[in-house]
Amino acid sequence: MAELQIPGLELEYAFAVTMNFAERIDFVGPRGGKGYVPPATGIVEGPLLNGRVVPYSGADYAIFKNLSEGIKVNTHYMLESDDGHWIYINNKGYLHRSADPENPGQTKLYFRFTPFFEAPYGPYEWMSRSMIVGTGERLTNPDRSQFTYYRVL
Amino acid sequence: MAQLEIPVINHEYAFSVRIESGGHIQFQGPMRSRTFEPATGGEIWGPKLQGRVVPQSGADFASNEQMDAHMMMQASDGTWIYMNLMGYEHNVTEDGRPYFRVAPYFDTPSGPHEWLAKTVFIGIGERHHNPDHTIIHFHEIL
Repeated sequence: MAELQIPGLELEYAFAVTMNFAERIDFVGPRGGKGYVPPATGIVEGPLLNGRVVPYSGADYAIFKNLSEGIKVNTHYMLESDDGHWIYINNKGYLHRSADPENPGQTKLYFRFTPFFEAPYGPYEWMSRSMIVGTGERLTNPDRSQFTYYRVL
Repeated sequence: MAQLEIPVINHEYAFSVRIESGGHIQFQGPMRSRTFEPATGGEIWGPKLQGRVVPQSGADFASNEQMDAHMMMQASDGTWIYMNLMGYEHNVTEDGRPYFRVAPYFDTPSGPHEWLAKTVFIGIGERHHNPDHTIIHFHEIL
């Protein structure tokens, strides 16, 4: 296997989504923990897509065992592009904190995901056929979350 | 609106998996297509995981152009690992190159391999013939 070439991973910045959440609900039941975090507002901007998150069109329905150990993201909602196309997003990934080897005593956030989109035939149908990988972060002043998406080439 | 800052996503090669194919069953239904391609075995190698694909432990149950494969793997230390692969395999694309990109999601026991169940990866797939198999090179998203 020594002669095998490992193809490199190439990513192209696609767009960013800046969102605000109102409710943050979670509970634990017989089948584990369930989160419910719907988007209140959201703006999509970037080279490959511009538009908005449709408010309350879905939520992150995360699963977890112990909330303090992080969650498995499972988000369903709708986007609307500036030129009037509806796009469904199902975002899967992980959000957790772990010890930061570079800063002893501190933790660092790991918030990465792979969304699967469904878009109608037309200018965004590539989104139904492309792997995307993203990173999320919580920002302040004002409080908001930013999700940044890269297309896997 | 504050000016957007675009964080960079770093990644590094983690391991590769060869999945041997047991053939294809494919049909169109009233609502969706369905493909069944069983995984008859395989091997895992690379810096962060070594082991095997457990023979006859699962399959790709792709539907409407989206892969959805489920199978068991076993690390070289004996640990069982479940893998759910989701993604796209397009042989004909606008630029003429095949596009085979996937995201794996793992379940593992607590222990040395549990990081697999807390980490996002992107896989770059290749399809090979004689005998039919796929090789997927997984890159860890840091």
